[in-house]
Amino acid sequence: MFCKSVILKIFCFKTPYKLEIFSCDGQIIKTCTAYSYYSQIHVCTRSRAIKLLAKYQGQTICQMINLQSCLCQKVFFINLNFKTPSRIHVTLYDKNYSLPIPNASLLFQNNQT
Amino acid sequence: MANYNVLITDGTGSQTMERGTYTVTATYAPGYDLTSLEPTSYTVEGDNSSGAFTLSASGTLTVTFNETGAEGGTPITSGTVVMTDSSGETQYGPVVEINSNGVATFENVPYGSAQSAYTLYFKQLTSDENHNIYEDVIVVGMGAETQSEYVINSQKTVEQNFTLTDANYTGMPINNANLNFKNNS
Repeated sequence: MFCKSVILKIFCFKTPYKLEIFSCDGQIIKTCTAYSYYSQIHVCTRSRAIKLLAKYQGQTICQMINLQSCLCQKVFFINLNFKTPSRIHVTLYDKNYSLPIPNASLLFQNNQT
Repeated sequence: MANYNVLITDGTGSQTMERGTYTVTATYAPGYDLTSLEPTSYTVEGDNSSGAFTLSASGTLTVTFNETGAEGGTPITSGTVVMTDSSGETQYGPVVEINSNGVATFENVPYGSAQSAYTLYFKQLTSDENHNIYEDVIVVGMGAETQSEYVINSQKTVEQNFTLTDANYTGMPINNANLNFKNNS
């Protein structure tokens, strides 16, 4: 199988974010950190497909790109839409005496994980 | 999707997190039952939203108010006491009655261990008619789930006026004398 050369044109308004590109057998092909809204990444691989992992402030977007018909299409446009995080304020009080609990830790586990 | 650990200091904390619904668990709160956390679900809907949570404790503190501040002293017969902050200015929870045996019981208080006690503060608000309240903030180190403490309430004194006159020459004041009053109680 010959090596395919593809260009990924990535648009993302939330920066900086980390990019990791894997072959379909799990081998990492390329990693980088994007600091601008537009990034262009060149990938050369024999893999039938590549997986793009983009990470921003604890969020991860995964995108698979099929390269099997890549003979005529070498450029892929990708939009990354990370969610805007929200700040929450939490209070923790004694249920029976309504006094503030001086020292504690609460774990928030996302139900979609 | 990420999980988040929110640190609480003096009852408050804040965190930036993605929108969504979360299952919330208490992972650290010395003195408290972590399984008593309420509520256990929280939905992040918008920026600067707020979440109010509570925890319960299971300790029991018994405070006896008497004339000695130790076991065996004559107890007061009524009064009130309340949990406060360290200054005694801010009151927490209900005012607790002191019963006819001089005892006030605080249920569901946080507690630690003998090595690391949980410090609680109280203020006596009233005593019975024959005793003075303990004026200072009462400081208790809860080092066990059940604990007893004693607080002193001194007897009240009232001003009395006496005359000592000659029994045979009515009205003649005795110039220089000393009377001793011994308590029969």
